[in-house]
Amino acid sequence: MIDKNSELASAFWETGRLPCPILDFHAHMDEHPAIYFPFSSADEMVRDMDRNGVARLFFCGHLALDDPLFGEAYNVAAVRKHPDRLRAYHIVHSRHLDPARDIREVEEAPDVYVGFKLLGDYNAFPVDDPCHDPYYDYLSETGKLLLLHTWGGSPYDGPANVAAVARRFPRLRIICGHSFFGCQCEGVLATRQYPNVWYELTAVPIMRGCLEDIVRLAGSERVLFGTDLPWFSTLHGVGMVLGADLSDEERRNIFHRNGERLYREIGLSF
Amino acid sequence: MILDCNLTYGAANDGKPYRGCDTFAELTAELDRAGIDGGLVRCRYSDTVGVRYGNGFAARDTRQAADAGRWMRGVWAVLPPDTGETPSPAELPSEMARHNIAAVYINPEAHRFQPDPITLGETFEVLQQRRIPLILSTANGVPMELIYRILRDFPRLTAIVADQYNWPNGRRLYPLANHYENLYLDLSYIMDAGGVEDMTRRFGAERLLFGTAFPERYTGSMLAVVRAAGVTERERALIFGGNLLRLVREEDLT
Repeated sequence: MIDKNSELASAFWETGRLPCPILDFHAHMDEHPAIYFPFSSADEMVRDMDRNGVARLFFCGHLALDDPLFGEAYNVAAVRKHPDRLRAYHIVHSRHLDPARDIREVEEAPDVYVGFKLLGDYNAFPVDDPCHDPYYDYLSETGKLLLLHTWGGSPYDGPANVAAVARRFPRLRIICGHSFFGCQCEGVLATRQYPNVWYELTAVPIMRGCLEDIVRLAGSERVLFGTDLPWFSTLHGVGMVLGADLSDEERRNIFHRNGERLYREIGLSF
Repeated sequence: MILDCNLTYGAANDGKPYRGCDTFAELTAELDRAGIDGGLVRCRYSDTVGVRYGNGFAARDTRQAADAGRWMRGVWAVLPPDTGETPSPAELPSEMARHNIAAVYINPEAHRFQPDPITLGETFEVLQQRRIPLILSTANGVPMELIYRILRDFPRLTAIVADQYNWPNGRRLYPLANHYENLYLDLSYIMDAGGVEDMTRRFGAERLLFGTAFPERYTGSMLAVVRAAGVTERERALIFGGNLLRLVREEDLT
């Protein structure tokens, strides 16, 4: 039953599905050299979304993450095959920057992209470096999203780096992927004063108490559901939210209400 | 019946920022809230304070819970018998039976011994003969290389294997599961999309054990994964508890 005091958990336990939609703000796609995935293609991921009640999913495929030259083509093809279910983040490779090209690609595919994704740790490059300013200016002007990989203790995408970006770009909508995993309290405390910052839950399930910390410090209205699919099962994240020490209202905020609000702000229909 | 093969309690002093479970009462309260009927329980003190201390708590607390009607069995840490700190290999099965202990584990990292046939060979022989489950987990100081080595030396061991530090971990776990028929997979860290279904298809549900790694992880995560996994209801029942019930046979100890 997961939480005997929760109607939402009871409904899930009864049917194997939540009685509300799920909006996933952080996923990947396709193969990865280090790992065997039981499934990872766009078709398989959409089937998995169907099974688990995920209405929409924003992703950046592994091929785009790892191939600075040609990987984006796979993101575009996946979204155009499943236009009602998928949207992509265009990757920003800090060591292969070409803002004019990247912004043009996003502009030319408004049906595909909801914004950019930046992984400071993976590029070993601070996300608050001014070389990224053209991207942040563009996102601020257009209202699109910035998904950052954020990690506790990182000199590239830790609390100070993200706070610096949020301070300089108050109209930039920043989603903190992983919510500064490992030092979530420090991360939220450093950034919660900026209303343009949201906290996303990928990796959070593997440390009991993290989610409660984030909600306590930031409020459930600032938390977005995400999985890293196919790295994490959607169910694994669902179970964390249902099993955490939260109210059903807070759980609904996380599963879909906050996401729906953000969709409206960026002009996506739901 | 839902039984968790990976439960721990005891005030932790390991510097990790997870929400701990200091007492056995907190553990049972969480199991009641989550709808878990019982399981295999280690006392963390065996790794952080002292083996005799922690093993003693695990025996005392799980015995009380079992006497109260809960399916709860303890797990003991075992040490090289040469120092006489844990029961000798010959005495181990009867001592386990006497103290409500259903499985053992090793943690050569916390307990600082050489995990070699010289130190634990006799113990492993007894475990193998008596089909007593041995928990081998990378989360408990047993690196994957050592798991491979132990199973190569003692291939008939009834082993419950878990891999915390790498996921999805098919490239590490599947060769073991394919090679050793007495090996069972603890699902506590199988959090990848489709992982449970993939393992069920490859190895059969009979080889999979529901586990949560509570309190380091949320009980809800793996409950949800197994509850909604694309497997048959029979397979789900085996994973949730049937396999552990089959695996823990008191008659093997006495």
